[in-house]
Amino acid sequence: MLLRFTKKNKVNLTFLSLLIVSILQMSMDAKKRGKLSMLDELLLDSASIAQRGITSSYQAFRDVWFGYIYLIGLREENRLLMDETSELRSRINTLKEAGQENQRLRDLLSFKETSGYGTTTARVIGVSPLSSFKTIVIDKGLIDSVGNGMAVVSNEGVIGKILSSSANTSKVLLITDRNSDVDAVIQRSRDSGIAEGGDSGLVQLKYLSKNADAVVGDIVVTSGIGGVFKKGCIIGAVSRVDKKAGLMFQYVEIEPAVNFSKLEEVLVITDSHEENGR
Amino acid sequence: MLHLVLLTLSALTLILGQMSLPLLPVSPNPTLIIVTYVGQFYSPITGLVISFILGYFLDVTTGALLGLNSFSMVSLCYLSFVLGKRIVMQSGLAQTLTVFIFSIIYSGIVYSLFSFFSINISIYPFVRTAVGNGIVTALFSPILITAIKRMELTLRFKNERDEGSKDIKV
Repeated sequence: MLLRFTKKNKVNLTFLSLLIVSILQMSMDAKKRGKLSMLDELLLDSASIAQRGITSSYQAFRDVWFGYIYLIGLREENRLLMDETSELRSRINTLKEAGQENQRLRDLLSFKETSGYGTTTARVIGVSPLSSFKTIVIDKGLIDSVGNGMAVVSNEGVIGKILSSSANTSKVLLITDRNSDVDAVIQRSRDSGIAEGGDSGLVQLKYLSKNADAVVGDIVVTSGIGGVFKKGCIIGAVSRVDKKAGLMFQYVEIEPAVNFSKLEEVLVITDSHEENGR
Repeated sequence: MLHLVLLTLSALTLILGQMSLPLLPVSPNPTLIIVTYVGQFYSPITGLVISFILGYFLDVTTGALLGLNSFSMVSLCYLSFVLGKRIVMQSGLAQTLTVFIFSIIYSGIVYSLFSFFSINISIYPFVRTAVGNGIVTALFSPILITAIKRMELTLRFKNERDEGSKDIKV
């Protein structure tokens, strides 16, 4: 009968027995609060081991998570810093440019003062895109008293002469152009010829007699004949001398003193033309 | 049997995991959800034993009055088993509502036991926390129950109510 009762009410009996166990536990714990039984201690120790693992996993996860979030912030910060760096680089570059320009202008000014010419400083604003025409455009024109035929130089040497002028700009024919010719002398030997533009950006010293003394490295300057360039302006240095048999003149190549690919500011000699004109 | 072990271990891990989280003003009680669920969907004796184990584990690890949670969880499981004959937590809304009510009952049991064992506790903060915990636990319940069902599905376990149940469904 008891068995049948137990079987019939096993759920209720289980429930009641578990409740009683719980109540007993509570009563005991309420009496000696904080004292754990051996089983409780064992369970707590086991739980603490497991919890340590879970906590470290959670912390690792949290580190990764917050690290990731932090990295997102860092990425944004990095982008801002990159922008700032770029802006600062641009400013540094502008300042460098200004410094270099200042230096170039100082050199030009120094040249201007020592040369004693009446000059106008001009900025190169364009270069001929056609390789067969070696010209540059400067930002000074008729308004600035810059006109056709005026010599254009820099502190390094001869650049060319004004080919045509508008009110505010002028086109300069470089000495390396085929159509350019400047009366020149070899500084050391004083032998003269005509410096004309040749191929591959070089200048050719033409009409130099075979007897003339020209060696590689000789400096070639303007002779002052023709009136465009004053005497003694550097054209360049002799880079090649060829005395071919059967020819009247020797072949002399001059490496221009001016690096035309890096031209930015030039001096237009304004008074030599006037003198010439007179 | 495997699903019972897994469920119990998962619940224990959840309890430990929750203990690793920062202390929040309100937090869900996954044990309560599991107890409510097993009370309804598992055989009553299995449910009661699982509830007792989980409650006991809660008591040992959380430092509460030893037996407080085992008593509460066993009571709730039995209640869930009894009520489960009329209500089945199939939809998310039913799960949320049921768990919220059970959460309030749980708080009531805890408060009564504290009073019974002369442990002073202020009623208003307790009620406020109880309601907050109840809401959070209720909102968390569909997620946890879905996870348990997924686990059962993976282990090809069919609980008693899911198969051919003729009970009223909320």
